[in-house]
Amino acid sequence: MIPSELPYATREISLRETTPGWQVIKELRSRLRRFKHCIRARSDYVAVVSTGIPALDAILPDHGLRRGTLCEWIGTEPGSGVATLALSVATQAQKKGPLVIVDGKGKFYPAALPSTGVELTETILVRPKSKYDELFAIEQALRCSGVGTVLGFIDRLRSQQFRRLQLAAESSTAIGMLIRPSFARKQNGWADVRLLASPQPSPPEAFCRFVELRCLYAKGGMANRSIDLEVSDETNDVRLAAELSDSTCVLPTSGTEISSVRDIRAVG
Amino acid sequence: MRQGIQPGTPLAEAQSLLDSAEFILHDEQADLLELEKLARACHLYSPHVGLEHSCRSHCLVLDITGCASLFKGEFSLAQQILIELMNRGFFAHIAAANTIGAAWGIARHGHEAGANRTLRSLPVEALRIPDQLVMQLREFDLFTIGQLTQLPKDELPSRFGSILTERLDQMLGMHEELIVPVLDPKPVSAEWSTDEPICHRKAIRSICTDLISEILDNLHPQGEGLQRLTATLQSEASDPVVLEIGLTRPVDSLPHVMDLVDLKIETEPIPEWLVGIRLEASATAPLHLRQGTLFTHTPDQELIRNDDSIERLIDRLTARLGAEAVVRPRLLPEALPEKAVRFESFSNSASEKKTTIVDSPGHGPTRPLELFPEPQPIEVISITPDGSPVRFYWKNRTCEVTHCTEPERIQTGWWQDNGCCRRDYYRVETRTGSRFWLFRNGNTSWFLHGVFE
Repeated sequence: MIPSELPYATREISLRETTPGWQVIKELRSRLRRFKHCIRARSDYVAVVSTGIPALDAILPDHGLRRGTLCEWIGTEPGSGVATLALSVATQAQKKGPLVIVDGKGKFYPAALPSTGVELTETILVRPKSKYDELFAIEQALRCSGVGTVLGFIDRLRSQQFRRLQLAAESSTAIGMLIRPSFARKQNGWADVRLLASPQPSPPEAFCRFVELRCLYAKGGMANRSIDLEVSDETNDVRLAAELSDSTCVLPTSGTEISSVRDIRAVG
Repeated sequence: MRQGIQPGTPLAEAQSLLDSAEFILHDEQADLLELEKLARACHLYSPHVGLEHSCRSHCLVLDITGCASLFKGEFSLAQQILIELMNRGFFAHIAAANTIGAAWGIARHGHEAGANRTLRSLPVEALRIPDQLVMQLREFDLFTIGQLTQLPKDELPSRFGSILTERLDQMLGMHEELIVPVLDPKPVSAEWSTDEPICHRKAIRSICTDLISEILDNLHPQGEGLQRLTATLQSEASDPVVLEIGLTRPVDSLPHVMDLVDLKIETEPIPEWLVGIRLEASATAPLHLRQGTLFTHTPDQELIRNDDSIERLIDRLTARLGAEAVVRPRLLPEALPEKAVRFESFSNSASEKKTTIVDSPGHGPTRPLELFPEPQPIEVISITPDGSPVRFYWKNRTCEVTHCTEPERIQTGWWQDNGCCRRDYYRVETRTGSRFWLFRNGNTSWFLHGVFE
């Protein structure tokens, strides 16, 4: 390895001698990006975990979540169903190692886990008492090579702290999922994927809830793509909400206003 | 045996008979230590386990008074002990009798008694007497215990010594014999003290490194690893501080233990001006008994995890956050939501068997992922007094309920700790699509108990 790196280093020195400092930094950054891209491309076949939701995979650049990265899940309001979706995705990564849930608020209720498909016997719950300990626990879990997914509920996060978590994730193979409130949307983060979950009113007599999931940012992919998901009340199965009902459905009688596609489905 | 080698055969003769065999010098002390380890392992079957030292070949003695019923009878108990010893690589003869002497005699010489299975038919060797005395008895044509019992008892000591009658009485239960129990060895510890107090953390760490290294060195020959470390810090200015560090499995790695000590020192208040540090291995376990993994694997799961990375993570988190903060959730068959989950630390998984646990994944009643530790009182408007909610106020905002499930009645008996409790739970969806878990307590007050995050 070292002999092959030597000419590269020599060339670097010559570059530095002839060009201004800022250009050297720019050139180095560009090379680093290319280098990282090569590594990511080579390790595709082992490093990506499918979310288990084909529609969500389709809007993510890697067709899943990359191991050793962070994914930010932002809920627009309390009760949005963001944690349910995140846990549904975490079950896929749980096959690769235990799920570590860091619950700093002490509100997480494990009785709801079996219905989301999470194996309780493969789950470690960490209940730190302070914000500092919470970050410590997430960072340690992310650095552990045996962990499949780390799920943390974090409100406020400074940029440096976020960066620490990202570096911790990169040093290992765990997927870090950070569940965050709506105000986190305004903050820049170090997550490779940022998803925004907005609850949608469900039609009457529907045995499921509807959530719009928008990809705010995805490293190396197109952002601002969204999908409508429906989560079954009984089984918590997540699937793409049908965009249109069957063409043979009964349309509402005249005088009833159709406000959205979902109204048609409700009637049908 | 097949080659004609018997106990007592000279070494040179044995070597000539079987030159391919490896001959190892007999170490009586090592044998005794190994037997003591077995005795401690047998505490699983009896609280009183001792060694029988009276003869050249030692044996284990277990007082199984009242224990047999726990193992479905004496025969089943003996079988389980036999299997345990076989798993450890030993073959054993086991006998259960009313006295130590009888059990010893039957275990060693019971097969020589033939069809007549009585103590009287046992050979005189079964009396735990020296070989020389056995030879002496044989010169008088006394071969069985039955023959001895027919002789006048008063004359035996003058002819053969008091040991013969004493052993005979012990076998027949006419003379009391006590079991000297094998006790657990004293915990391995290391201590440091000084006249010049220290307060710098680096100095404390350096001393702890030396002490832990000494403890691990002492545990290593026994094949044991550290499972719990107790540190007592003595100060001039204040009372001693005791720190506990638990590990999920026995370890013999100094860097790992020091890593945990560092985390503990960082978080716990360390008194100033330390004049003494005492570290004690308060729990140890054989290194070969370390568990494979903390989690069960199904064949379809990919096992890419490192051997002990999860255990190390749990050790680190426990050292920093405390055992109660790193837990495994267990579901209990309790109606009240706040009692339906038990948080079990990884160090006391033994208590798992005491209560019924419902961990199998299933689709029971829908529960929210976020449950408030205490239900929050809220103001709710419903059309009828005992009807479902139409609107509620929470965190200074009005939530219009568009969908609501039928009430789920959760009621406990008056004999429960907190008395009778009757709640009607509703899963409600607001106009924006958010979902909450409300309940009405009796017919009066409303509470928000959870959020379907």
